[in-house]
Order: sequence, then structure tokens, then C-alpha cells
Amino acid sequence: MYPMNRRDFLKTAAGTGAAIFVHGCGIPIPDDKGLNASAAILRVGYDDSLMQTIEAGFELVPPPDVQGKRVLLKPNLVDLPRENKPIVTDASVIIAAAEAFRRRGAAEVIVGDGPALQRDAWQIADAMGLTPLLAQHALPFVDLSLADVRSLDNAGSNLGEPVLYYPEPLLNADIVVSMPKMKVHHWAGVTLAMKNMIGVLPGVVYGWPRNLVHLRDLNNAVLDVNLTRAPDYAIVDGVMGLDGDGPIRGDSVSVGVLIMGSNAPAVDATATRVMGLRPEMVPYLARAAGSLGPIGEASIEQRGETIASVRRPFHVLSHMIGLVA
Amino acid sequence: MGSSQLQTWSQTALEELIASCNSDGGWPHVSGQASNAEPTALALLALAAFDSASSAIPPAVAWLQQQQLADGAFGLSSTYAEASWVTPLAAMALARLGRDNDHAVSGAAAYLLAEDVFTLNPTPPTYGYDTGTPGWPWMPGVYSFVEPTALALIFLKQQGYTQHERVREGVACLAARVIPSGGWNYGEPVVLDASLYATVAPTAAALLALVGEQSELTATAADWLAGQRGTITSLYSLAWAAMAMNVLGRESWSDDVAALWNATSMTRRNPLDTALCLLAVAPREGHAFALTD
Repeated sequence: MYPMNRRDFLKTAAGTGAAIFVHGCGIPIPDDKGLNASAAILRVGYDDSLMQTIEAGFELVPPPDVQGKRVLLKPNLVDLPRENKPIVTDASVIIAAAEAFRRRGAAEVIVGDGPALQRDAWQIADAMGLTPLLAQHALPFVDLSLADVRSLDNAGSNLGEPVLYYPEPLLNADIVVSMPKMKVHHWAGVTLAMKNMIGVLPGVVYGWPRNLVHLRDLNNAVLDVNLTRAPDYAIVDGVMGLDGDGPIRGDSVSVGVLIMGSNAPAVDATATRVMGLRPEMVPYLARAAGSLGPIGEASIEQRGETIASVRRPFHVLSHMIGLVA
Repeated sequence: MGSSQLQTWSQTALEELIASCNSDGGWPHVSGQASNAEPTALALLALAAFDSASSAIPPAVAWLQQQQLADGAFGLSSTYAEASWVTPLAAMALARLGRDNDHAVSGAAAYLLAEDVFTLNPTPPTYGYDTGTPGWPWMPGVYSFVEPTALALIFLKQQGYTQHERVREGVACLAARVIPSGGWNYGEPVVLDASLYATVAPTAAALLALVGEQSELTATAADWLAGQRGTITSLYSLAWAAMAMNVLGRESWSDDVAALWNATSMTRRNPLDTALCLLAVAPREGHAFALTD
């Protein structure tokens, strides 16, 4: 079946919102329109140094003021981890971030997600070892898919939906932190801080999975969700990533980094380059350039480690070969 | 756990469920939240099984009736009325609670039999399963998935539509979505040539919907589900699995349900899970999720 031709790939896109990564499509270089941002790369493992490393990242690219505020950490808990595949944000990174925000004066820190591929968020939390850590650190966990919902006017015009429904815990948070796992995605190209925000759309409204976003093009959904309520900060768990057939069936990749910043497109572009891939070839990143943030290397001030020093090329499926740098 | 201990547990769970009812008569997914059709419907089914004279039933029925739309579908609540997937559960609850609800129930059936669903027809070559046979979607007009299809099938079969063309399509849709190694997930058994993983709750729901549809795939799926015993740590998944095992007439998981419910903290336990747990241990005879053929 592989490599598939463009005609077959376009047919697949109808039901799944696949992006097109065919090499040599002549996609123009995105224009950041003068936008600039910073992103930090820090080396770390899943060990006791995580909180200090995140605090070091805060020094490099400060988060918004969290003093006295409510912070929602939104990790990627897409599905039950199986076969030891690193498909969810590591529990140790979530906990370290929570404690780091507490040390910066956050009045309340909540962990919340709405897993895409099954309803039982607690089963996933149990399986990944998050549940006992939540209890040890007195951190509330909320299934965003079952929370009360409220509609917001869709600030984007890409999905064709006038409103988007959001869970109240997210809307009531002062600061929202996107905490994705560093993964390739067989439809979107990569799944990082911006794509992670699709997970806030409640399953009780949109289903498990949120098929509306696939039918109307996943990239349109990523843009509209980020235009309507962008994350205030991003921490990418790139200690162990997933390549190949992401976001569920791929293979482990040891990268050994966190990537942090207050502008999601810039963080994602940086992470994409660390993965040895081209952010301008990820459709939602290319379209975000110049509006939601910069993605050009010249527009992003790299702090901490250099991209070249930590780059770890991710393998991709054959239809995604155009992503490879 | 002896029968008296199980009875004691079910009474405790029932009391907690009733105490978590909102002042408007409905139940929330999580205590402190607004009433929602799914937990309300499941709570009503649990009450029908364990305390059919409960004073909590009439106001809950009244609340649920208010969620039905003009086209017969049920919405989740006044905040979000468009979700169609809860329609089978709401209608099952009303059907169980009296003939006064006949019009509402028939309206729900009519809606489901005519509901718009997106299909890919013919199936594109890159898909490893049939995408053209319609089941039921989470929202009107989108793709078919296992759980809404299973719920619709259970309700429609209970209403006598087993041989209706739309129901036969739904059965075929579930059969097309089975994971090759057994069981179901959300509804995509294969993506880009890679087989995905079975998941407990969709497998349980599909098995309940396919009772009477004798085939190797349901036997394999039931065996897969039985093999998950001892691995499930969350009430939602355990309750669905136990309910399926109960209704299918396989081994009882009632002790597992009671033990996990007791061990789950009250901050994690929620009305939805408690209602499902009660349904998981409810008498098999006349069970809310049983099919007559």
C-alpha cells in the first residue's frame, strides 16, 4: 500500500482531515510578519532534577505572572499507553510543572484533559502512574470531557462553526499550560503544544474521538481552538518522544529535552526542528505563522541548548517524507 | 462477597446516588456540576432496578423529558442541546419508567432511524475496514463510531426494530469495526495498515448490542473482555465490563465492582460511575441493557 499516490491520499483526507506532506508541493515560505518570540530548550531526564529544570526554563522564558492565580495544566492523555509506547505526557513532568508553578505563587494548580480515544480518563491516569502522584501532591484532576460546558464565539473562521464549546474548568483558569508529548502525527505531521489544545474540546459535546474536527480538517480545528483560547505557556515533554506511526502506534525516541515558551507556534516550531522536521511543512504551523506567532528560525530567539546540539531525527511514514529536513 | 454483603453494598451505593441528585431533579456527571442527560438516564435505570418507588424518579423523569427536542432527539442539557448520542439512553430510561412516555420513546426511535450520518462510500483504498456502512455518530452528520452505534442498537432492538434495515446496517457497521485480534475500540480497528487496540467500554457496549447476533467475532470479543478481569482499575470501565459479563450470562464480576467502588475515594467517585456500577450488578432477568431476541 505504501508509498501511496496523491490521489489515494486525498481520498483518505476526506474522512480524517489529513494534511498533505508530499515533497515538492511548492509550499511558500511562511511570513512571520514581524512577529518574534523566544523558546527554551533544556536537557533533562525523568528524574529528580525535573522541577529545577522547569524553573530554569522559567528563567529563560518567563511564564505569565501566576501569583495568586489558578493554573490549569493540560497534558496529552490521548489513550491508554500500551506496549510501553510513550504516547502520553510523562507523569513526572506534569507533577514537576505543578510544583514549579506552585513555587512561583500559583494559588491553585489543576491537572485536566479529555482523552481523545477512550472515555475513561482515570483508567489512563492510573495506567501511566499519575494517580498516586496526584494524591501525593494534592493535585486535583479533572476530566475536561465530562465537565460543565460553555460556548464561546469561534475566533477563527476555519472550521465553519460559529461557536466552540469549552469546559468550565479551562474557562475558569487564569493560566492554561499546554503540556504535550513530543510526537509525530500521521495526519497532522506533528502533535505538540498547539495540536494538544484540541484535547480541551469536551467529548460530551464532540464525542470520543472528536470527529467533527477531523471531518472539517484537523488543521482548521487546531487553528480555531488556538485562536479562540490559546495556551498561555507551553512545556513540551521531549524526554522520550514518539516517531513513526504517531500518535499511538509509533516507536520510542530518546531526545532528553523539555521545550518551553509562552508562544505555542514558536515552541512547536522549535520542537519540530529538534525532531529533524520542517515546521513550514506542517500545515497548521505554516498557517499560524504571522498571526498566532512566528515559526521561522530567524524570528525565534533560541535560549538554553541549541537546536543542533539536541536534534534527534524522527522517522516518519512515507507519505510524510516532505516533512523531513 | 455473599449476597447479603452485595445487597448492603448496593444499598449504600444507591443512597449515595440519590444523595447526589441535583435540586432540578437531574443528575450531573460529577457532583457539583449541572444536570446532564447521560447520568440522569443511567441513574433512572439504576433506580428502576433497585428502588422503583424512589421519590427521586418523578422529578428526574420530568427533567429528562424536558431535554427532548422537536425532532425526537435528546440533548445533553439546556447548555448543549445538539448532542444526539444520548438519545438512546434517555429513551431507554423513559421506556422503562412507564407508558406515559410512549410518545417520547417513539419519537426518539423515529429520530434514530432517520439520523444523518457521514459515510465514506466507496471505502477509500487506504482504509482497512468498511467505511460505507452506517452506524450512528456522536453528533449528527459526522462519522459512525462504536459506542453511539451500540447504544442506538440496544435501544432500537428493545423497541422491536431488530429486523429494520437501519438496524441491520448498524449491526454490519459494528462487525466491520471489530479489532482483528478481538474486541472493539472507539471505532477504527486499523489505521494506515496498523491494527489498533481494543478498549474495555466500547467492547462491552458492542457485545451488549450484538446479543443474538451469534458469530465468532462476538465470542472472541467476549473472551478478550473476560481476560481484562483484574487489570481494570477505574469504575467506568469496570462497570461496563461487569455489566456485559452479567447480561451475557458469563461469570459475575459483582464482587469486583463492589470492591473497587468501596476502594475509590469519594472525590473520584461520581454519579455516572455509581449508576453504572449499580447497573453492573443489577439482576440479569429484565436487565435494562438486555435484549429480548
